Amino acid sequence: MLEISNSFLFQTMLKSAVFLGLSAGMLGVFISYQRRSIEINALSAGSFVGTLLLFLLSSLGLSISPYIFSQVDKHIYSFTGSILGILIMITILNILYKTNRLHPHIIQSLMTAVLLGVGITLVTSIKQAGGALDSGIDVYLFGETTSLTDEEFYFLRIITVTVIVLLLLFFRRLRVVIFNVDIAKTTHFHTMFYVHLINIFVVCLVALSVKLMGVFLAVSIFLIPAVTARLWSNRLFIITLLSGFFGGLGGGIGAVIAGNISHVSSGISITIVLSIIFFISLLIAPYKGLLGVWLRGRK
Amino acid sequence: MFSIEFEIIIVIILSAITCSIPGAFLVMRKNYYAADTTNRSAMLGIAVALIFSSYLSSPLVIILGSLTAGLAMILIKKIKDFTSFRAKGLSIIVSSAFLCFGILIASNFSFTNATNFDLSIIYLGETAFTYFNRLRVFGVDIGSYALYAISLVLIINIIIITVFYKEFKIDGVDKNYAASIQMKESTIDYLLLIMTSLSVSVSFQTAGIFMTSAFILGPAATALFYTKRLSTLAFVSVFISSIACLAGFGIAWPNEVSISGTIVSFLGILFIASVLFSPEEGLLKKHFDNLTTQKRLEEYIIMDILNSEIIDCREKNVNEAISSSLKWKLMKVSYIMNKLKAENKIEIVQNKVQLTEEGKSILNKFLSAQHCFH
Repeated sequence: MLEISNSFLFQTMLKSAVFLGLSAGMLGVFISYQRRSIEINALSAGSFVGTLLLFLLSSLGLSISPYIFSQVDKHIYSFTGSILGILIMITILNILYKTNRLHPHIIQSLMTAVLLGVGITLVTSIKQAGGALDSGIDVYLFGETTSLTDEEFYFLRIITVTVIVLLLLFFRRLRVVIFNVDIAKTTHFHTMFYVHLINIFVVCLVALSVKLMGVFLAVSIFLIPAVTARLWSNRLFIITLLSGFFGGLGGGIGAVIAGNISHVSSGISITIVLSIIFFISLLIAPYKGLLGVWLRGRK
Repeated sequence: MFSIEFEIIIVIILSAITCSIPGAFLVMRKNYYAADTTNRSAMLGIAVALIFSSYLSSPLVIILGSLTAGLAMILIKKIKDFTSFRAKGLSIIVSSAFLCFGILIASNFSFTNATNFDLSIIYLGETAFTYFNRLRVFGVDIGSYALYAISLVLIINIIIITVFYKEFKIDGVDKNYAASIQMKESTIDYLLLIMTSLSVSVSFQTAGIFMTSAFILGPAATALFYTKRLSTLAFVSVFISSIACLAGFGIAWPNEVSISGTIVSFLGILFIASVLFSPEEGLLKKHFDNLTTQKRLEEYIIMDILNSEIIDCREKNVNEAISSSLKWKLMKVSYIMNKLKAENKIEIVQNKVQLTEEGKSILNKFLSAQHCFH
């Protein structure tokens, strides 16, 4: 039933999902050790609103009718909009963390839902204005791998390969930073540089993964491989490599499934494959899986 | 029976109240992941129910939706006990797995495959469609189905809370005390779980499965800025949610934009506004408090220097001496000195600046309050 076709569109889908899965899985380990993995939900909702706002502004201010925009212009606008939205969201969240006695998790889940509400209101008002968004809302919510253009695919490859290389290059320093910032400050290197490096990676990869995975499932490609790899080992380097492997595997299989079955969005199929990998390794993993614990208990 | 607008707005307000009651207790118990998890994993039950029934307002949807929501929470608890990972991360994994399987079932196997049914009603909510499912008794139209389902769940919620109010309060405030009087934590957990999953699966038509978490958490999080009593918290969150519903519906209905989106944005606006302007914990109040305390501290520092007579206290060069020793600007020092002189805290005796009796007593009171100086 499933066969890998040689068409250019399908190859692009497969490659982009694998590249994104590799880099996001490796970065997800660092984020989940910093206890910020839920923040990605809010950031992706922020990028959703940012995309829509910039689209609305550009169609209002720069031309009379939104139909005049060519396809490439649209994509450039949406990408800048999503990055701006994520940056604004990060600053709002940081202000709210410092000045509230509420737990960070409550702020994150509240802001996610609120920003989705703002986004839906914007979508319906844009539709009222002139039906500029011809594609359905499902593309934004659950992602579509075929929505990438050539330029975006080129851009995605550069970003993901850079992220992977830099993560492996600075691995020893980043390990200290994610373990404890205060301890990292006592050893003599630029701690804040590495903290901001992780932040820059997060901004770039979230903006890409919202395109592929959708607003709600963007968190899953960061979080699920990291937690799955945590079941297999307790050494950080092995966890990072395994997490990248699981992310790439899930992304590849998910993209193949999404290409072959017509009713399934790519974000949904990738998340299903990743969660199946998680539940299988919950059973058979040697370190914290059921089988490993049972074997160690028998001795 | 009533006009369309009246009936829809009653459904919206009732569902918002139903969601905000368990939300107040969830926020007290610091059990935040329950709100996100229940409404995402209810998707699986709704999708399974859609195979058998052809419309969204059926009792099967509510029963199966709340069952899968409860199942997800129990599964998370089991995995957490086994692997000792943090519950919030596990909740994201389990709930997104349930959500994706639900969407897969709903888009491929249910009746929606044959008919052209838009699934975004489940994701994002469309309250206006609840009007068309009427409930008939002996052929007489007695109102929409959703009205009765929501009020039934609201009554269940109110009964549970009035019966177990003391247990909720003790468990929310002090868990160690609750354990010491041999109160079972799991009963409160399961009660809250029943309340949350029932209200989520009944009100997903109003807000959609993604935005229900704002209905649950938003009013309670806003109400925490105004009160610290549990009973008042519940009432204030009900009040806030009904205000947001009225305002959101009033804007969305004439302009024909999404009702649920507008209501949720209003909840967000109320939250941000109370972060900024709340009378007790607002950002502006804290900012002005910080400014006044800083100024008072500067006054006390200068009074302490004058009292200890370390520096040259002659009237001519006292300002320069203070500013050079503290490295403050001369303008600031002379401003504070003028202010102190006007308040009769310092006086000039034989060309020397001294503290008055009043100033000395104020300074001593301040110093005795600061334990670190002793």
